[in-house]
Amino acid sequence: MGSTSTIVAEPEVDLKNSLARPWNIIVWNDPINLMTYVTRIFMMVFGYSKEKSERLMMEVHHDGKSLVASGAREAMEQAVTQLHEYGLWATLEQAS
Amino acid sequence: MKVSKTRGGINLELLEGERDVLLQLIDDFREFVMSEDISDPAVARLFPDAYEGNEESAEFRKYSEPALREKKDRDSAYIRSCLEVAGVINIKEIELDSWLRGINDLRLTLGTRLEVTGDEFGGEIPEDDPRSFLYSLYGWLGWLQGSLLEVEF
Repeated sequence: MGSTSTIVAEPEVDLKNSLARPWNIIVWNDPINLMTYVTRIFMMVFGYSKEKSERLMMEVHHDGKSLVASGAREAMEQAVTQLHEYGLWATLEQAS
Repeated sequence: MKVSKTRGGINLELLEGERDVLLQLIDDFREFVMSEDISDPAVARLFPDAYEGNEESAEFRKYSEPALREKKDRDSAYIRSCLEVAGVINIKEIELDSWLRGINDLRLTLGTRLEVTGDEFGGEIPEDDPRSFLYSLYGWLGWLQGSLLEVEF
């Protein structure tokens, strides 16, 4: 067989983090934060569109919680810190 | 209180009484936010657990809480500096989030103390209830924050 296959390591691919199970950010409902404020936070912290942010906010409001982002642990921890700065009740859990 | 849009920002006009109450509240908050007593529900609400597991939460808290506390103090110190200048307060668009976060921290603290459920404003709080002033303050802060959020840039 004359064919060979090689894989060249791409420095920008973070293999370790790509293989690990991702971490999810859960935002929990609370009776204090205004709905318009929660929408704005999702837009600011995650860069989501207004439509997507409103949909997630309504999910938090009606279902009591929503999975709002998923990714490598370090990035998700940074985002949770930002959500706590804004006063959201947000937690992290590893995807099952 | 009056909120209006300007070029690149928001003008906030407060009555003297409103300004005094907000200053007092900010000063009380800046003292309160230094508390590390996590058994206090209001402290726990400002600095929530990041994980369900106690061990992971404690580890996360160890690294993130001091900076978070400093950030909250900085936001409220910034609002205080705006309130110290007499006349109409001009909030620039890039500074709006400091205001929103700072006012929200006051609402979280007060709302946790009052154990709000989100349903109370349909009903009347009796005037002789010792908490009626705090309820009206909580409602006023929500109105202020909501008005700031309504401005579209």
